[in-house]
Amino acid sequence: MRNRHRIVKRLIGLYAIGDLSPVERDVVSSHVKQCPLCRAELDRLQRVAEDLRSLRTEDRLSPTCKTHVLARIRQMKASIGQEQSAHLAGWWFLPLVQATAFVVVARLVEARMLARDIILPNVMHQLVTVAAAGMFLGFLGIAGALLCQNRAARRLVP
Amino acid sequence: MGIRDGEGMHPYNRATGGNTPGDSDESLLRSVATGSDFALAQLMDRYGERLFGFAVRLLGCPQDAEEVVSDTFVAAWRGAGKFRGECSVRAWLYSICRNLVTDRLRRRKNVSTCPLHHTVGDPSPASDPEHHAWTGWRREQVASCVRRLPSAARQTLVLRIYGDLTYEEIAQVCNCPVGTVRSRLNYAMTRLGELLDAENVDNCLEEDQL
Ligand SMILES: [Zn+2]
Repeated sequence: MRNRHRIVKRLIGLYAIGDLSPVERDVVSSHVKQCPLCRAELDRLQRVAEDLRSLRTEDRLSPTCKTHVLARIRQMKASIGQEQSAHLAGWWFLPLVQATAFVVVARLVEARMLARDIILPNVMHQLVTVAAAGMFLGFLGIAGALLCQNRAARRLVP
Repeated sequence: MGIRDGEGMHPYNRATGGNTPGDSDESLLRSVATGSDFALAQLMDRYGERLFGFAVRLLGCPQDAEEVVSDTFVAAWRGAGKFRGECSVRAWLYSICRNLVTDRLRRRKNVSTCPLHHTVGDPSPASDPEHHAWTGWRREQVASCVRRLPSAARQTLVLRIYGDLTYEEIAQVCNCPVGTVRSRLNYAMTRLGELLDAENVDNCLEEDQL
């Protein structure tokens, strides 16, 4: 009986919230029939369990919480986008460097060919010049766009 | 590139990021990782209220609890890509929430510095006003005794009763063996019974003195 009493003490709280296996439940319910102390304790704990469950009905999260979270996330997404474009826009001078390098290399090759008396056919010569000019203008455009993005991003990111 | 912008999808799927309301928690979290707001909203519908119940029982202050729930979902959005499925999604959400609650309590140091009264009202007021008042008072008493339980026992009890978490999930959230969850839960219940009884005795004595 005394031993049972000790075992039941370790289970009685779980019994009250309905968390025991059928075997353990039988152990507790047969003991409380004979032990007035445990019977009283179980009554008390069953009331406590009921009170605990009754608190659950009043936990209401305000409906604005969801909209608030979604708004925060949209804001975070936007600032991540700004950071990325600001990072990219910081390299606006790179296309300019590339374009200049291309023109310089093209001119050097041409000069070297002239020095070796290799005369390019006229059409080839014009082609190299047009390609160099086209590349230069294209890269200039990319650099300009990135520069503008850089300015805009700097305005938006505090 | 994921489906962050939802290009090339059916209009319904574009709005929902390809998710349907019946999707599993894991698949919703995967969509959250690719940037779907809809999936996050779904997870909030599923667990927002329960996380709030958990936070409010530990913090005692509904405003604080709401902030914690909101921070939990923002943290989940940030960390969704790191979820490796070692525990269930809801246990993972509760772990985040538990850490945020612990941080807040540490900063606050003392639970009672916050206006505790999460208005304990009867959601379906009985016609008898005396009964209504008594129920409200009793609930307030229970809520306050829960907050006075030792931290580990309190968290375990609240996770079980208000979070409906399994013992395994509670063990994952609290980083302890399942056996410890059982003994903490039994202790929390018996201690709560003692605290409530002591409270009642105190109240009776006060009434007698008046
Ligand atoms: Zn006994």
